[in-house]
Amino acid sequence: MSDDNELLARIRAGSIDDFAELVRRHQQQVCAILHHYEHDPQRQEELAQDTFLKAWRSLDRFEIGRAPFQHWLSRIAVRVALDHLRRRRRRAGEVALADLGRDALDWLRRDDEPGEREVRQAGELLDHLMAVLSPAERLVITLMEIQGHSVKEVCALTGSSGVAVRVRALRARVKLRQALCRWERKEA
Amino acid sequence: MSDARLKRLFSAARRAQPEALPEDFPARVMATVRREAGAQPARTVLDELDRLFPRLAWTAVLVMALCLAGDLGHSLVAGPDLADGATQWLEQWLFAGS
Repeated sequence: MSDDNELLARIRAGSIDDFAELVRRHQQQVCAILHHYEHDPQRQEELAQDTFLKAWRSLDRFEIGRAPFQHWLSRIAVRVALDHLRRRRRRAGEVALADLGRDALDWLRRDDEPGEREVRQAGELLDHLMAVLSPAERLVITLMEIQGHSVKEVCALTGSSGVAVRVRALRARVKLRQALCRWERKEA
Repeated sequence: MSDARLKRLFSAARRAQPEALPEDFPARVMATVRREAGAQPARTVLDELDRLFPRLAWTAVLVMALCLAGDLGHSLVAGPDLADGATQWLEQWLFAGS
């Protein structure tokens, strides 16, 4: 089976159909990035399509052999996610918290491992809390705290400086702590 | 306290698995790609120049650096440099009448 670079060379030579193989190979990776920013499966798919179409349109700018294709594609997915967060922020009030129930906070106070239900609740609660963050702050905190990237990796993915990434992460943590306190007081 | 709970929230969110894309996802992407590829206008000379610009700019810088190095080397080996020659020529031309 040929590697990404061989496929890319063939696509550039005019074999458009080989792009489908690239999509098949990397769709999981793109989805793993995007699902942290959009929980609705249909919208997630739209964002994934958007990512691959953007990659297709700028394929000429990818320098074969300089960096792995998946790194370049990840950067595009992160940009798509950021654009999505900006659009979503403009549509005020869309990020509403579903009724998580009275026990939503209980598992947060316990030490046991979260189950499937708790993982879903954590996603919803974080989504709600992150509404207080700017899109750039949300992107940085998600990349670092949820996707587990280092500052250096976030810089490479977003094109921001190390200082900007650290400042955004710090601000985001402070804002999230305050939002969580407010939410806990409201729910108590 | 809220810091610990926030960390716990992040840790739980980290476990969330993405939903699988539909089987025909690559086919859907390819349908749009083919549509775009069919509608794409042919590349113009300006597009090609735009694509080649970074390489051309670096080549120009390299040529300039080589010329400067050549001039410097020549002046060290063979006496007066280009600036001296130009000054001499200008003086001859300017004061030719006097």
